[in-house]
Amino acid sequence: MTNNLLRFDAGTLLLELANIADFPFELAGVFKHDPRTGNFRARACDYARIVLTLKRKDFPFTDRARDYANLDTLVLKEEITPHPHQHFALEKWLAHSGRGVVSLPTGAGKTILAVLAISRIRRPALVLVPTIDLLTQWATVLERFFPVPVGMLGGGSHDIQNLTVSTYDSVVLNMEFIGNRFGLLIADECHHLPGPGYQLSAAMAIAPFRLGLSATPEMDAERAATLRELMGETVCHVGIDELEGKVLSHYQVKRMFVQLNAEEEQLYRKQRAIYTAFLRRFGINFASRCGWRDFLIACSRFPGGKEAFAAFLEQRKIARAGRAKLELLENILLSHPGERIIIFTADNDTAYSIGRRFTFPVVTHHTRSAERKAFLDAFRTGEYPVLVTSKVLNEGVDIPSAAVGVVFSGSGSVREHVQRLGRILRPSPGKNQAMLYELVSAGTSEEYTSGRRREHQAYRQRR
Amino acid sequence: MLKKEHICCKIASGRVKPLLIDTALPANLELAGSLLAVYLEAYNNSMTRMELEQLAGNVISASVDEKFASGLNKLLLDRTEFSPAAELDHPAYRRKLFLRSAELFKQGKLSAPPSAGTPDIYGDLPAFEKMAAFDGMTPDALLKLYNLAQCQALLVYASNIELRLADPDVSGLRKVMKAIKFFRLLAEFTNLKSKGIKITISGPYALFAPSAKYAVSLAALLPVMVNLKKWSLEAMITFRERELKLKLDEKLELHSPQRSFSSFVPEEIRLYHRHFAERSADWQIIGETPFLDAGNQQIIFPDLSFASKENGKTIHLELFHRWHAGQLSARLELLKNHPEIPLILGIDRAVITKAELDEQLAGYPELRQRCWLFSDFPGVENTLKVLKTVQ
Repeated sequence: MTNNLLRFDAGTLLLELANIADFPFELAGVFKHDPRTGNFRARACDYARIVLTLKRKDFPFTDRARDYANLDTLVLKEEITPHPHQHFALEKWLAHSGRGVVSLPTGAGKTILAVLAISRIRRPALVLVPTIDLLTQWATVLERFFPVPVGMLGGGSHDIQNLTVSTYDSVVLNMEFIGNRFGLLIADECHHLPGPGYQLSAAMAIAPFRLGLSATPEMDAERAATLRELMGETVCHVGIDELEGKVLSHYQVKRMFVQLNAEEEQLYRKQRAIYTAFLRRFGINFASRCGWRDFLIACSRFPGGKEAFAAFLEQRKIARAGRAKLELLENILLSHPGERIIIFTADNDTAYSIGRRFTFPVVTHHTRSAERKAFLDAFRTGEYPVLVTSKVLNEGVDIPSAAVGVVFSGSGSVREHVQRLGRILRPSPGKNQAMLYELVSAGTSEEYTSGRRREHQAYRQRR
Repeated sequence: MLKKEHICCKIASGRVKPLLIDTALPANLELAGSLLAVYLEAYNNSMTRMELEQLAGNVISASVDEKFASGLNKLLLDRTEFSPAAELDHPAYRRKLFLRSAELFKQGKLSAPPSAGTPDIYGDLPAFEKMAAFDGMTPDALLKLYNLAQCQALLVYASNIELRLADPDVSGLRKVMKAIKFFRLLAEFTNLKSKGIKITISGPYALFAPSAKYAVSLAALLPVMVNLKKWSLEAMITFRERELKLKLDEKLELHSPQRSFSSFVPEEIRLYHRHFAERSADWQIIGETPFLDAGNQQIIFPDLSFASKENGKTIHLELFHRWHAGQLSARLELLKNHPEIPLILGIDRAVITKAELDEQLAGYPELRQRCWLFSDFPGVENTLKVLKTVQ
């Protein structure tokens, strides 16, 4: 034991030196002197670099930062034969020292890839997921493949084990306490990670091995650079077209336009005129980055703002959920009797109004976890053939039996639209072809929104 | 806590100034009184969240300054608790209906729209929750809380703050230090000689990048600071995509709803107190924890203090979490030299291992008995065991 200590401190690393003159200057760019505590401090995510540098120069130190042991005896409970694309992705990731992002389409087996990565690296692993549904889903898969307890953080659970799954939200609050207990960090749907709230979580973890997983890793340069710094380079990318008909179902996308009825159209035009006149009056442009913010500020400050905001909501509501759309939905439902159908909406109100109209289960963030699980289980078994949701089931949730998707309304986000398609692409016995309907109110702003969200390879081929 | 849309401030020359309201103005007091009356009425009649929103909405839309009224409403909403509507077992009711609609759908039919008078299948959504508790206050106190909340709402955009105390007294300083420790922040002290002291407060990671992670904790310090005598606070905040300087001081006459920080009890401490009271026959927790002057300008701010029911003997407990690991060695040295200090130590396992602690205290068996290791939070059983040994 030496008197030089490397210690984990609330998401950072402290280097406590017996003699300050011994400071290793190779690490001058990593450590900063902290006047608050009088020692040297570094980001926890620089742990691997620090330890390698200190060991390389035979610098005597005691590593008290790392609070985990290797899981040398960890073996899979059942053997996995990876698909060729999974094998390829794993080898690429390992070749990059177990650090990097793998981009695979939804349904291509990212969870299994992560299981394989854990079994190869054999370190305590923390899996980050964006939703509570994915939290339980991941925990179930890990429990199936590993003979060790699996912890959960989030959704009312606070159980930390060598294999732990956490929501991004929960780990933000906890990483400063648990950031030194895992050697492998896996970020599912890792396009969320560069967000200002979440990126700190990955920066506060010492895990030398890092695996980012995403079906939709496209993002602006700044966020891409943050993701690269925290998780590593993109080491493997497989497109949806490479797996369609093999690992993924064949699919068809049908965009259907509906006309507003005369009364709705009149009201739509009237409300839109009020709102667009307000935009013009104050020079607000929604194409600019601050457009939405400027609109909200102007609505709260200037005369006519309250009416403009109400008009904005009303015209959007008509475009998203007109009567004709509801009638078309009814026809679509009747043309797929007994099939497993998932209906997506842009907002909770529309989801609940569809749920009330047809007596269908609705999953939103208001749905309590026990009932949410019951709804999903019943949908998987076919007991409930139809499920309505706003946004909470957009990502990751494994419902392979869903063969039909209906985008009743949505945002202009390409990511959201691709993820929604992904919900119905997973292969399942008896599923020959998946079908995605997209319902658009003709002559409204929905046409433009729909055009924007279809800017992806998965849709371009279907035009 | 107020949200971004409730903030009223003036921005000029790179500075941001909260626009505080006159707490003595009759019109303001009347508005606060009207909203409080709405909440009391809603509470007395167990109204739903939706009904409360409608009633409060009437008062807000009738007010001269809707933003101000919405801010007051938000503060009252924070003091309100709701419980699910209990008239119907909605999950069971839904399940019955969903099974029926599923059967119909499998036969190629759809359920008819619900007829009038049947219970709403989603009648247990938050909008239908009933008001279960309301922590009321006077109109004057609500207006004072509003001014404090306006300043806190801006502090939420800070990554560090500089607190200056012109004439620091030990008691005030102790409260600030206790709060800093509680919120897991770090402080750097600068002696300004005749001008008092400057305390720069931020979180551990703030050394590398400005982070909003600590902002809520920084904002939560304000109620402690406003109870000090001569204080001023400066913070750079990132607000509306601009870097702005925020300055607050005692001249703003901000009032804290918590007269003493020790009256603020977080949930984990509350649970600890309850379990302690249930399990301990010989000891009780003392409400107000004093500080210990260990000499040589060393002041110890214990986390909890216990009094023996039998003989009145007082023992203090200091906790060492991961975020104050650096101070443990100094404390152990102090206790080696001053075993008479009535202090026991609870130490997070992340700070030191059992073997390391044994090694550090080899030759001091009595002191070793006064220290124990815990994970995340010290348990009541271990505390009682150590107290018994010390007694």
